[in-house]
Amino acid sequence: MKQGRVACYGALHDVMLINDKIQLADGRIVAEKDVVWLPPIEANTVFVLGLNYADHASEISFSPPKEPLVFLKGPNTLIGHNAYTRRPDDAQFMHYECELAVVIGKTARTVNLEEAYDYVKGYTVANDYVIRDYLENYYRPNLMAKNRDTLTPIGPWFVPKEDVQDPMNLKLRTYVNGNLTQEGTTKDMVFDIPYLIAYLSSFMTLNENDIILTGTPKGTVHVYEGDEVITEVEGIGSLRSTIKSDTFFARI
Amino acid sequence: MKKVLDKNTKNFVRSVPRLLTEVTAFMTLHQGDVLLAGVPLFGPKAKAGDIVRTEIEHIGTLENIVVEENGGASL
Repeated sequence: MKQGRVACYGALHDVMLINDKIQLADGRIVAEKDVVWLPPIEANTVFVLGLNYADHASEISFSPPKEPLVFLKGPNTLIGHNAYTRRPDDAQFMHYECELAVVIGKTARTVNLEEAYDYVKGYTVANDYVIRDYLENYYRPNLMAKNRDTLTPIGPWFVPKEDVQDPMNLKLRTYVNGNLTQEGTTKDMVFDIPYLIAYLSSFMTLNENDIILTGTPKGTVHVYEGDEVITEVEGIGSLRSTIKSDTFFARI
Repeated sequence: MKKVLDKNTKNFVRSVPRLLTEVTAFMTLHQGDVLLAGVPLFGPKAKAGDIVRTEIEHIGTLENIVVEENGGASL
């Protein structure tokens, strides 16, 4: 059953999707217009894969890496569904990245491939926006490119793993202002979910509510102020964000 | 216990105010966030069994024991 976290009627609530309706934990059904979506998981460490789809790597002129290329994100960058992402006015190359997000369910250390899914709690959708102007090369810290405030919408729903038959066979799609601009499938990941869990847990401990953003396929286009971007993973959810300029975020 | 590094924060390439200015230009720092201000070049290597004491004047002394990852004491 899909689960989320929202602000509604002046309080924070855990919600479930029941018959396509949003239900609060106390049973009340609420209209989508009445809720403000929060990230569905209070994330611990957020791991992010670079270049984990071969077609995307070649699209931006890199060879796919020989081992997973991973970096971390801080909590300042995560926002929920239907929120606003800030686009610096001087940026030229802002791209969305539709990604399957894997939520870890329990402490994992030196996990092997066969048991990797035992450590997964479930899945959600992320949009790992990047301001590619600030990317030096992918072995350098990419805080300015990827860890800016509001740059990583996530949600709306968390989907328990029991509800996902094959996470390695899900379609990914992105729509900008209603036009389909990106299409791929999780089948095409260079390093699949079990491999990523085995790899990360081979040298560090993964904990409950750590999240792995598993990379994006081909199909990046520039996005601009006012654009509405929907990243969608089959069976997991459809995540909307709207791009706003520096002026919108200006402090008085 | 042998001294292997002796430097001064006055030699930062970027001062603390400059670091904070540069980082907060593109992301928000919150109470409790920690900024590690870097280390001088050519830091000495640590090996299993070392007791490493890092010390900053007026701030404190931090001790840590290095253990072999494989086949060493389990943590």
